[in-house]
Amino acid sequence: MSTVKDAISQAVDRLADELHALSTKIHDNPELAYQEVKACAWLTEFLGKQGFKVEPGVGGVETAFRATIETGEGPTVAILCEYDALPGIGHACGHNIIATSGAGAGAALAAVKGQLPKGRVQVIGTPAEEGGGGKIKLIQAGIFKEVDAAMMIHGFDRTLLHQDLLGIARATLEFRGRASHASADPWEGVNALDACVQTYNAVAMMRQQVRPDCRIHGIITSGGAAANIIPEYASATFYMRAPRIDTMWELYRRVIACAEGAAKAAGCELKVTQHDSVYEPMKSSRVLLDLFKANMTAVGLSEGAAIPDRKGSSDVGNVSQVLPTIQPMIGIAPVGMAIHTRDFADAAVKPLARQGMVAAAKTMAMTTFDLLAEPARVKAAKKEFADGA
Amino acid sequence: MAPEALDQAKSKVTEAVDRLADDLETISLQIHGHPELCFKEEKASGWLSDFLEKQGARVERGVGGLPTAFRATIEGAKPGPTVAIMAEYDALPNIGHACGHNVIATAGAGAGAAIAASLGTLPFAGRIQVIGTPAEEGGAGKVRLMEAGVFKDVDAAMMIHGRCGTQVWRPSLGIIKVKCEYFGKASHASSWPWRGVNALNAMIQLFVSLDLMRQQIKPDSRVHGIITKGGDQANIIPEHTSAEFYLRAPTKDYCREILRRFEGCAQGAATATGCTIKVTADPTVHEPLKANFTMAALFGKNLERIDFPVDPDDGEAGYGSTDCGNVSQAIPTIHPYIRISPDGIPGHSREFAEWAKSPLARTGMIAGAKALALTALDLLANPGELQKAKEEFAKSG
Repeated sequence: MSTVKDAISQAVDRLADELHALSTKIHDNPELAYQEVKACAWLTEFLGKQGFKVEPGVGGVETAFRATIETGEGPTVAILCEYDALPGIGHACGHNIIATSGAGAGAALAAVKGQLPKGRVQVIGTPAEEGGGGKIKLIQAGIFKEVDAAMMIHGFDRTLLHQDLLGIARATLEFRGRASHASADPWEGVNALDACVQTYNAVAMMRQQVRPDCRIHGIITSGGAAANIIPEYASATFYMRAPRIDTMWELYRRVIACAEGAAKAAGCELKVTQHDSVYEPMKSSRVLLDLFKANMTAVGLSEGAAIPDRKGSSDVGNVSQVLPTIQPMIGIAPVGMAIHTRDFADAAVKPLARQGMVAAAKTMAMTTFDLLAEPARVKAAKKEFADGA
Repeated sequence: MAPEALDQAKSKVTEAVDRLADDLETISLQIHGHPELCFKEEKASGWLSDFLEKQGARVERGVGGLPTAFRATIEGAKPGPTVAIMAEYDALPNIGHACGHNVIATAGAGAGAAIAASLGTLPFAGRIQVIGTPAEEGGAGKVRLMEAGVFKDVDAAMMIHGRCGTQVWRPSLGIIKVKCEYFGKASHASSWPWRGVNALNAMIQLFVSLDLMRQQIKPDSRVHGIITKGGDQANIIPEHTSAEFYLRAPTKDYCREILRRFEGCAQGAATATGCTIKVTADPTVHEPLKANFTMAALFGKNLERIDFPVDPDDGEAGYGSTDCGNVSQAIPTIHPYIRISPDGIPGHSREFAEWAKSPLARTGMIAGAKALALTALDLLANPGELQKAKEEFAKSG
């Protein structure tokens, strides 16, 4: 390892207690999407202290931030933090670890600023990953426009260099029919619930003709007013998930066709509302992953067994669709423990989580250093990104 | 015609039916014992034609281009209106005369034969015809005969139908027959299912949509179908499926309304599954029976005259369909039901087939023959009654 990387490693070790304390504080004060006021304040305070120029509330998102150190003309590498919690079960997704490993990586780079090659390091605080699509807002606000490469890690039950993410497009389907007495005059009615149920059936039938790595799931959100009224209104929400963006939109189109068909069959009117936040699938970056892998090995992290069939979704997918981005999984909980469980929330402040956070902070800092040191790698990552559209 | 003269003529005719009763029952049992499917009723139509000829009617065989149709005419004193009595004699596949057409045939032929035998030439203007109408069961023989002009000069028509009760009026449902086909894309159902477009999914959705729709259609309507092709092999995503449906309703308008909604269901399933669709409606539409209460009242009075009881409608049973509906939409027509079985025996059952050759069926057949003949006499003897029937026909929608 180079002397700079040694210095990075030592800086993270030096800050480890402080980072762990920060992680525990965030963990014990869970804040929901877009309400991460404390976490945002603590993280920006910490980064400011390390010498970052801090811009809170960037992109018009109050609990977002951007912390920058600059060493001259060169690539911009972003390290992303998340720090929102889940309703009811707190930090069961371990975002406290994402936050502090990102901030820790930034702090370590700030600590070696004098030895950093030319370029810019940004730690970007991205709120509301859990359903709010904070990164989508930041992309739309231009926060990623100048960024050449981005990375973050996610806590998991094992370390995996790359894990596919499914894109999600969401739609609310509303069916309007005509109410009538369900016993006296049912034939005067147009049954909106029939359309809703038929949509559900049609989607279920369609699943046979859908790739097994895609997911379609939905609920009926309104199913009628009273059993003795032919329902005049019914609605459903469906999520369409796929590992590729084109497949996701194809799936979306097919689900809407199911709803259109059902509306036609039942004689109802259909209104489709596509939800604003579309989480896109993860586009991988071999170049960035290779660098990350080498550094991961150097800090003593090794990959666990692949689990290709367990996939979630995240708004980092959207970032990965606009610039080279990676999100390796870092083991912070015992193998087999599922995320979004209370057990995982408990694990997110245990020694194993601290260990993972420290290792992740080091790996991200070193990978960032590599990119600044070898701008050709950034170019290669961008070329790979452009070629692999 | 003076009432006394008509009364005398009626008595002569009823006596003639009684005289011919054994012969008629023999023919009825012969037809019952030799069930012939639609358009293949060679024996039945031969036996009936021969019998009518023997009793003095002028018989034309194979009228309207249908080899198993016939027309037997009894002329009147001078030209005038034509009253037709219809006879059906086709059987059902597998279950024979489970619709009792042997009784329809002999009641109709018996009415004509008794008139011919007892009156020779009718003592008034006009004529009475017995029209042998093949293929009621799915062949719409009467529609063919109408198209061929056999009913062109007929002013009023009537027939009886055997049932588990006697009712002078019961509605029947119109039918639109529809074939629906879906075309998708075949693909290996295990290795590449996502390359397929499943035509069977579309078909099943159509059935489910129709089931869902049933809540919102009137309960006296019927929608029923079968899948005639549901795919080729279970390891191929089906590329072609086909089904046949009957859409039935008590009015032509509601039949069309159901067809419109059926098409919505059918198109919707195509949209949902990405299949293409072909809907083919059979050009022959079975029309619902149009009531004629003037003629029904005459028929009821004649049942009274011969002391044959009319039953209250049993309420529970639904309605069938008949090509007589098409005749009833063109000219004043009645299609009364005569008891030939005990209460609650469904038509098109093996049990009903048994009852169609029972002593009860003989009694019903004789009563039917008499009431048909007497009602035909009423319409010709009292032109005012026929006029009333025509006016009622013109007025009702």
